[in-house]
Amino acid sequence: MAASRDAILAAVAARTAPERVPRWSGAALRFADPVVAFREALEAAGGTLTLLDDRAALDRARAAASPEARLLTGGPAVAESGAVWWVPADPGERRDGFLAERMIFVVARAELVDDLHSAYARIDPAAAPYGCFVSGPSKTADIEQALVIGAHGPRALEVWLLADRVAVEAT
Amino acid sequence: MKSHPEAAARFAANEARAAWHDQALWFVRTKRDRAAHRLPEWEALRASAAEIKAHTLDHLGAYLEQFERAAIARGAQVHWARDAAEHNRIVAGILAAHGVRRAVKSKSMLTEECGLNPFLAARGVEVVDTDLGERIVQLRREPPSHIVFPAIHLRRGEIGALFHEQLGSPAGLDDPDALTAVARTHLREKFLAAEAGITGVNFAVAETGGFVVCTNEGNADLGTALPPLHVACMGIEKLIPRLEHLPVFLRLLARSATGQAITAYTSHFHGPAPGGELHIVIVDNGRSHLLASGAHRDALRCIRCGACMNTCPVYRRSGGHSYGATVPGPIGSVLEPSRDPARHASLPFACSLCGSCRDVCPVGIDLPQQLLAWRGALVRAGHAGRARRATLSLVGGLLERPALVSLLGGLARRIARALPARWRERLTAPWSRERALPELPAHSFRSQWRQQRGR
Repeated sequence: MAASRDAILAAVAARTAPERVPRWSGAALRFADPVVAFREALEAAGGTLTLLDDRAALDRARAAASPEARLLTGGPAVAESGAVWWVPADPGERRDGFLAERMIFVVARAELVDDLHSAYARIDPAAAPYGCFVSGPSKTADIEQALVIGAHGPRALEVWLLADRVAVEAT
Repeated sequence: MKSHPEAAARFAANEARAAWHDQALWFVRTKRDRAAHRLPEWEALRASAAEIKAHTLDHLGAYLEQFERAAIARGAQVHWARDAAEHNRIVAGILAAHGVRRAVKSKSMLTEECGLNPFLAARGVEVVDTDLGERIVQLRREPPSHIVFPAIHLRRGEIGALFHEQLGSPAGLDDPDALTAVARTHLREKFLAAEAGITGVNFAVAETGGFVVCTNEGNADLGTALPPLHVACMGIEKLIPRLEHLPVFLRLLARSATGQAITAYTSHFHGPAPGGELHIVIVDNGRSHLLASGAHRDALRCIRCGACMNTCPVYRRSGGHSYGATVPGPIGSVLEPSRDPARHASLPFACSLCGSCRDVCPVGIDLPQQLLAWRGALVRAGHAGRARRATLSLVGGLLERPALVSLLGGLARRIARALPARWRERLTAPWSRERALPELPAHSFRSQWRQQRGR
């Protein structure tokens, strides 16, 4: 084991610490209306977007939601891809989220960013053992390239974008 | 083993299948184009990805050590394997220490390359590939034919027949939705019964000691959320220096692979789940050799998106199995000969040097140049076959003598015009099997050139 480690490190040679690390410095993607872009990307990924104004609207939506849905809190959300960052609170939430037929992410409107670089600037994936960008429901195109929703995980995914940040924290 | 042309002829003999395969992959290529064109910064992303990967390979030892330190600090256990055999022994050892008899695995070309499944099966461990395409080819006892779409060589009726025979679904089922539902039920049982989850790694981050796995099905997530033991297998080339580099690669990967903006699940793992164990197996298996080779070092930048296959006119018309390799297509034709030059000698010649693969590669690998370099090396090492070697030395000798080219050209034109068409075709077979021979001009290009200039 230790011998293999040393052999591999010797074989890749160049163990010098880098002086200058390359950085992404390209133009940032910015949308005129990130909500429109997010909706388009989310729908392309097979998900649906609902805009909610306040706590009362959230409560009404929650009461009307299907009993097989799993309500989760996520964010940031990424307009370019329809993805939502999710760090499960515990292993149970992680397991149940993937076993559920339907995932619903409640995301604060203030957490919507244009591109993925901006999202990474706001999160610390290393702070938890597991975190995931989720974009739409589980899907596959492994049979003749035909898109099928619901390969292993949730068959449906909704994002509830909530104008009021306080209400999101209360979920 | 069959050479690429022999195996390709078998695939092409089924014209309907070959035409469908060609069109299906070209459709993926067009989706990739649409996704790329939506991003004004696409070319800047490609350049940045190429730069980051080149930089990482220049300092790979330092980044591997940094990754190991950080991963251990987060509670992961790190193992090192020089080759496929050591990788398999390590994984089998971890599973045996936990008494694992049933494991689920998400897609990993590395474990495919190492032959992990048969190794574990021989030791009484059931390994179920959970990616739908991979499960299909596993049930058929054949290797994947594409690194992103493992079962792209099969038609829905064949998959229906397979599921009927092995999973007990109704005969004649050929609707992709219904077939996927059959697989979902079958695999859900496997997920719930699994005692360990094995995954590959798309990107490993040196500064955090964590890694990312990308899937559309969520199989890596279910496979690691249910059992307490997670074994992740990665090649040494999967590293990137920092978290801030992840979005550069993630924005390129899915768009290049399928035309999606991002995969359905981009899962980040940093240390074991509470109460669980995380083992990371870092594998060389010939990669350090490729790194030291210089000529083919750039091939280690590959992020396995499959775009070079989808666009390759040879791959699309010959099918992935014709390459007889874990990774087929242009990138496979560069990687595989370094493992076994004699066995894979025909692959760098399975290319028209059209350059389309270089144009779509998200990390800027100059694939045609790499394939050309292999051709020279293989011919020099005597792996190209006697006929090719003899032809090349004959043509080489001829082209060095312009007068002889003129003389033989004139002779050939005169003879060809005198012969009946059927004979001409027989003489130029197999070239003329699918093509009509053009009408030969009365005068050579050189004499026409002289005439034009004389005017």
